[in-house]
Amino acid sequence: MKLVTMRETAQTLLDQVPDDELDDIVRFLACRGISGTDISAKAIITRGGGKELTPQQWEAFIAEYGPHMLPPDGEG
Amino acid sequence: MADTGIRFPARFDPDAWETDLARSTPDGRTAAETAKVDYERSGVPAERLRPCDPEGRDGNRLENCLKVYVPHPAGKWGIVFMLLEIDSRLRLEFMGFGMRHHPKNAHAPNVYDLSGKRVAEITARDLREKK
Repeated sequence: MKLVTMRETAQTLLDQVPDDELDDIVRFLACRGISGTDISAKAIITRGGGKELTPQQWEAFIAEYGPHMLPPDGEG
Repeated sequence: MADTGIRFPARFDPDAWETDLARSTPDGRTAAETAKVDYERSGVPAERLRPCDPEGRDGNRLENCLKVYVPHPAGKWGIVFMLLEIDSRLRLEFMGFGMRHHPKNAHAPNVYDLSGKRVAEITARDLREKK
């Protein structure tokens, strides 16, 4: 009898998924914490009680504090 | 860059933090914990922060995000934060910790990949709502 690990099973299942559906699956897997918690940005922000900045707020922040920070370096 | 005295408070989501440290090396965990203790206690100095590229070279979208290198100033790990507003004040919210670069043939995600996947959910939702 050939033993199949859970990882092998997962890889086989992933191989059967059409390429255009992989993105959502990868996103889902990437946003599960080690304890199974949702660690998407949305969940993190909700738990912390903060609010996303509007583009105008971001621009104002960069205008005020950008000169005191390091410049973007094109790395990511 | 000179110390301006400007510091931004930072919050580290325990679940995201533990998840990222679990996949790091012992050296990476030590560097990360040292940075976290400092930033939680005193905030992140403005002069250590860099805005992330809104659209990175690997296709990651990190809008409204800033990063620090760990250890400062040019360590091989990085922390990505998203800038948020809370009670009319600014705060940095932890989005990811990890290596800045992996060896060319490695398939492990770097800190930009990890953070980008988390932020992508927000971007996708926002795009849907704008339609």
